[in-house]
Amino acid sequence: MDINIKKQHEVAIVGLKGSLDVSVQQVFKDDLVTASHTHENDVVLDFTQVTFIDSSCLGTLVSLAKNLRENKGDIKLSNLRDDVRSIFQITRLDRVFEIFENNDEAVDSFYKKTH
Amino acid sequence: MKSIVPFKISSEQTIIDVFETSLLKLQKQKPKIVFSNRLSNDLKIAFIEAIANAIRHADELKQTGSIEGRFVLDDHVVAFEVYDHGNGFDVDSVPVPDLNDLKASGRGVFMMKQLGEVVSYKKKKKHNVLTFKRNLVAHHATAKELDLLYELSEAIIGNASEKEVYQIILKEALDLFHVERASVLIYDEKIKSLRMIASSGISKEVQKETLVRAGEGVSGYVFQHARPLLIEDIDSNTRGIEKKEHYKTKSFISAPMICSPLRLDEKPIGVINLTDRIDGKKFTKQDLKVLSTIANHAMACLYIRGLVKEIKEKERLAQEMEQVRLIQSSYLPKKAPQIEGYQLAGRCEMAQSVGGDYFDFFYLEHYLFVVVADVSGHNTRSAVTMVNFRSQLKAYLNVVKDPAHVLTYLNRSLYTDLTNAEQFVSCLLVRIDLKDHSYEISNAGHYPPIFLKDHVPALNSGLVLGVERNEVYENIQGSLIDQDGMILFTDGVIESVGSDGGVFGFDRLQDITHEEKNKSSHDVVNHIITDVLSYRTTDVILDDVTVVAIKRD
Repeated sequence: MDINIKKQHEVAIVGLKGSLDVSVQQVFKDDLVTASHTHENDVVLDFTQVTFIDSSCLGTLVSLAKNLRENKGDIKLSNLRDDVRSIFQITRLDRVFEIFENNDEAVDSFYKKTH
Repeated sequence: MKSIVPFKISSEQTIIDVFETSLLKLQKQKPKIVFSNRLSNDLKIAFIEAIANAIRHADELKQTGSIEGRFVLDDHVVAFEVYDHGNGFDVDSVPVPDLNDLKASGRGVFMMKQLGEVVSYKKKKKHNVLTFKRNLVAHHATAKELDLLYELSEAIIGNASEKEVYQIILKEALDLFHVERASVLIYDEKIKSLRMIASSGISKEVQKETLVRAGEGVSGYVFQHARPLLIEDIDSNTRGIEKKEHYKTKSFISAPMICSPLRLDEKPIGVINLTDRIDGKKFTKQDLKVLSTIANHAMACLYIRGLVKEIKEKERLAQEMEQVRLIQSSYLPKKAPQIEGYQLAGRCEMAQSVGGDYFDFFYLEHYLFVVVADVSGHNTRSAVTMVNFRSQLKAYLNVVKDPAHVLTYLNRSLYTDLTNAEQFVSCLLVRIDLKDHSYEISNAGHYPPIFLKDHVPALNSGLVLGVERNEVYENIQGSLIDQDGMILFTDGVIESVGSDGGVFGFDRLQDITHEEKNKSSHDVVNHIITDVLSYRTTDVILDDVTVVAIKRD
C-alpha cells in the first residue's frame, strides 16, 4: 500500500492513498501499526488522497485509536473529502476522532495538549 | 569382470530371503553399481516367477529337493539363471496369456519378458536353464538424475521459498556435475538485468557486482534467446564477452530457466551457468541436455507450486464464504410477521464477498420492534458477531422495551468482544406501539430511516456500538398516520458503486421511496433492491444490501 510518513514536531504524519477497503485492510493495519511503533504514539492521518473507506478499515482505525490512547497517544484525521467525511458522520465516528482541515492544525492540536 | 553368486532354494518359504541375500552379495562384490528400488523390485518379481515356474512345471522341488541357479552381474547387465530337470518347454511358443485367468500357464514367462531384456530357456546336458537378463542403466548418472529431479520436485512444491529453490538447483547441479564454479542468475525487471542470486566458487564481490543485460555475453544471450549454450572453447567463441581469465578450462555451459519452453512468448526467469569441471574435461552436449532438464524441471515445479497455492487460497476463501452464508441465512427472518393494520417486508441481498447485514422483526406485547444492523468487516467473524448480537438483542427485548436503553445495554455487553475482534456494529432499532401508532427510534451510527410522508425527524444518532463502552443512547419520537411508513436500509444501498463510477446515493433512495409511497411494502422493497442491483457494477467488492419497509395501512 502506498503510504508516506513524515515527522513534524514529534508527530507522525501518515499520508494514505486510494480506497481503504477490505482488500487492503491487512496491509493498512500493518502499515499503521508500523508507523505508530517506529515513529510516535501521536499520529495524524492525512486523507487527502483517500477516495473511500469501508467498515473494515474503520474498524481497524478505531482499534488503533483505542490502543494509542491507552499509551497516552492519539490518532487525528486531516483533509477528509466530503464523501469520506460523511461516512464518519453517519457512524458518528466524527465524535471519536478529531478531524481537521489540514495537517498543521492537526499537529498543533497535539502540541497544545502538552502545554 | 563378472560377479557370480550361486543360490539354492529348498522350500517355497525361502524364495524371497534367498533373493535378497543374493542381491546383497552381488552389491558387495561390485559396490560401484547401484540398484535402484525400481530395479530391485523388478528383479524380485522376475525371480519369483522363474522359481515358481520351476516348481510348477518342472516339479523341481519334489524331484531334486531344491532349486538351484545363480546370479550374474557385470558392468552392463544383471542376470539370473534357474536350473530345472523337467521336460522343458518352448519359451517362445508361450502365447500371450489371459491376464485375468490366473491359472493359465505362461503368465510367469509373460511377466518376465516385461521386466527384462532377455528371457531364454535352453536345454543343457545336466539340466535346463531359464535365463533372465536385464540391462543396467547405461550411464549410472541417469539414475541419479532422475532421483535428483524427484528431490527437486519434493523440495520445491513442498516448502522452499523462491530464493531457496535457486539454492537447491545450484546445489543439485554441483552434486551432479562436480564443477568449481556455478551460478544462478535471475532477471530483475526493475533494473532490466540479470543478477547473481546464488553461486558457488565465486567471490562475494563478483557475485554482488555481476549485472548482465539481456543479450550481453553468454548469459545474456542464453536469456534473450531462451536457448541453452555449450561453449567448448571460450577463446574462439565470438559471442563470448565473459572474461576468460575467470575460467581455468575454457568450457562453459549455460541453460535458461524457463517455465514452459513450449510457449513461444515465455521469457526465462533466469540462467544457470556451470564452468570448470573439477576433472578438467570439457562439457559435452549431453551435459548441456541434463542441465537444461534440471533447470526446466525446477521452473515447472515452481510454477505448479504457485498455481497450487492460488487454488488452495481460492478454495479456502470459497469455503469460508459458504460457511458465512449459511450462518447469515440462519439468522435472517424467513418471513415478515403478519400484523393487522401494517404491511411489513424485508429483504437482504447477500454479497458474494462476505458481508454482515442483519434485520429482524419482533412482535412483543403490543409492540413491534424492527431492527437493521451492519457489522464492520467482511469475514466469518462478522457473521459470528451478528449471531451474538441477535441473541443479546432478543434477550434484552424480553425485559427492556425502551430502544435507547436496549442499545445502551447492548453496547456495554458487546463492547469487549467487539474490541477484541476490532469490529463495531451500526444499528437502528425501531419500536412501534401498535395501539396508538407512535414510534420510538434509537440509532447507533446507522443511516436514519426515510419516511414515506416526508417528515425529517431529528438526527440524534449515537456512536456505532463497540467504540465507547459507556455511550448512552437516546430516542427520537413520533407517530405514524394513515398510509405513513418508513424505509430502513444499510449502507450497502447508498454506497453501491455504479459503472459510471458514481454511487447510488441517499437522494436517489429518497426519490424512489417517495415515488413508491402508495405501493405495498413488499413492492417497495423489491423495487429498491432491483434498482440497486441493476445500478451497481460487480467490478468492485460488493456489500450486503438490505431494505426493510414498514407501512401503516
